[in-house]
Amino acid sequence: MSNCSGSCSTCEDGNCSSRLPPGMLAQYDLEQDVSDDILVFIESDSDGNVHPSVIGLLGKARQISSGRVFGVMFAGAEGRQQYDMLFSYGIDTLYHMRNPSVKDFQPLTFAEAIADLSKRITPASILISATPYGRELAPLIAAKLDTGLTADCTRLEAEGRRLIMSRPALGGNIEATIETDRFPQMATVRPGTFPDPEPEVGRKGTAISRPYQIVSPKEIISADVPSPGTDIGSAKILISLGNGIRKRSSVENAYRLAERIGASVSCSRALADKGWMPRSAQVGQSGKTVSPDLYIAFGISGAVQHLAGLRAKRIISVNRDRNAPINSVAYKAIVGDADAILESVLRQA
Amino acid sequence: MSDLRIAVMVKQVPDPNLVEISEDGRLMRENVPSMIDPFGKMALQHAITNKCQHHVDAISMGPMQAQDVLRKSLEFGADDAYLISGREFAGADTIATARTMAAFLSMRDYDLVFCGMQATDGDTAQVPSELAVFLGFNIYSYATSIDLENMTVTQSYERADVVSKLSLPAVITFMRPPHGCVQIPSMTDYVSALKKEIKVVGFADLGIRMCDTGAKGSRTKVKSVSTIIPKKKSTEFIDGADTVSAASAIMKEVKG
Repeated sequence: MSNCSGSCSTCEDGNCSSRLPPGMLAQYDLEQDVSDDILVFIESDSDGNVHPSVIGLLGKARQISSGRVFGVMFAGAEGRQQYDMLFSYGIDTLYHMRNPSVKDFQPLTFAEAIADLSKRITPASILISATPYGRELAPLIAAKLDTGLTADCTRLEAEGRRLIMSRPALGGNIEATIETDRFPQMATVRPGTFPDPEPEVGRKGTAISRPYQIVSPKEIISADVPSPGTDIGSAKILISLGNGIRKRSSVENAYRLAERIGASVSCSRALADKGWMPRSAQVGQSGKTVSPDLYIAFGISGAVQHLAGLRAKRIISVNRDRNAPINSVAYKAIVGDADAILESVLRQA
Repeated sequence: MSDLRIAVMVKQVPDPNLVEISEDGRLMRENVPSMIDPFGKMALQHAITNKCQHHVDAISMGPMQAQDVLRKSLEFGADDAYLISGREFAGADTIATARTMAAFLSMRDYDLVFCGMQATDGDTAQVPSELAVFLGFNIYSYATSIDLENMTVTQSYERADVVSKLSLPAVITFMRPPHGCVQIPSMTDYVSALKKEIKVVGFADLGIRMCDTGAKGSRTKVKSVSTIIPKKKSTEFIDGADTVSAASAIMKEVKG
């Protein structure tokens, strides 16, 4: 490395070239200050459970990278169990960031560690899932590296090491194509945008364990993890309720049905505003992006803002109004009373 | 804690259904009906609800017509209002916007900066985090409530509602209005707002370089913009079915 600061863990003596981990040096052209590689943030909990959106992102990184794919993961020792899985989805080198005193998501600390890593491995691009954590983290890194960041991309292409990013804007009415004029180029990607690739079982990679410093720690008092049936981000089936739901008992019916068929329950903004459903269950532009196989929409009209968060394979809508916008994207549209039909589905389940 | 200095960043956004795009991909904000960004308004409501002895400034960056949202903010109860405005700032992406705002905020010694979690025109949610880095503040995104007496903040992440100790100074972004609160400006607020002056801050007041703001300070470039034509899917309608057979049609799909 030509611009080594001597601050990294692997070179206590400040002389990187003799202390680089095995397999690292060969890839670098010392004349060039940017590599062709792509760095992907592997979002996980401290036990190393990887966020499902990471897999599709790795598939895309592999597809567009003209160099290697790096991963950076913050996890405890349990993270080791994920190495083979991550290599099978295309990671060549995984930086496993370790600090035994960190148990939670620490935005400023992680951002500092990733910015440091980026200066060292000089990737052409950094990709991060646009989950709530990712959307908080990515701009911290971009500001530290003084580089461009494009949020919530729904399309990524590459011309050599140049990244061409596209994202919807203005409530999904337009798509803007954006480029960054410096490296690393950064993008967050909507979860569920890219399909999961086929794993290449037995594919090998390198894992490098790296300690990191804590900066401006966030002192967490409690983390209230929701009960089963409420994780809408990774659910295969979603029962979703909208303003066409008139009876409050339907909310309870939806949760009972979800339990029976292994689904989760989500809602449109209207029901979250009413306080009938938690904000964490809201789908759409101001809520979450979901990508279930089946999305059963009870009484959801389907405003653009709601559809902006919806990437379902199949949508069934139940609505009194035959002309509701959701029917134009639905695969089956049932015209009828949402409360009554939901109750009847529960009886049949 | 008392006597905190709070800055609330509010943004004027165009009505998303009426906006037009220029050929180089910028939003044509002129002559489009506009409004105060709903998330920024939530941030303002949190600041006003928790005001007590704190000092609350409303701050916006944009063209002169953005004074409208600051006037509204004063009516809601903000103490002072500042508009960062100038040709030099035009075409700023998130990083140039955050740098410009940080230049202003750092001159005024705030303890807290409140923002909406994102603005409805860009939806990027990037400015607050970038602002936090440039100011050297802590960041708490997706806040649902704050308690300035016990200094705690609740954030709603994907899998958990996280309660943390609020360490100052900090940038906080809000995703919902304060619980059970509907703030309507009182007659006194309304009248005193009329007497207040909105201070306009220009490029020369900020002490930043041309290359750090506006289009020149931007690190991203919009290459092209296209209208999204929704894909037409053929929908199978089930119309006039009784409740039970409609329900069976759904169960058939569930069982796959």
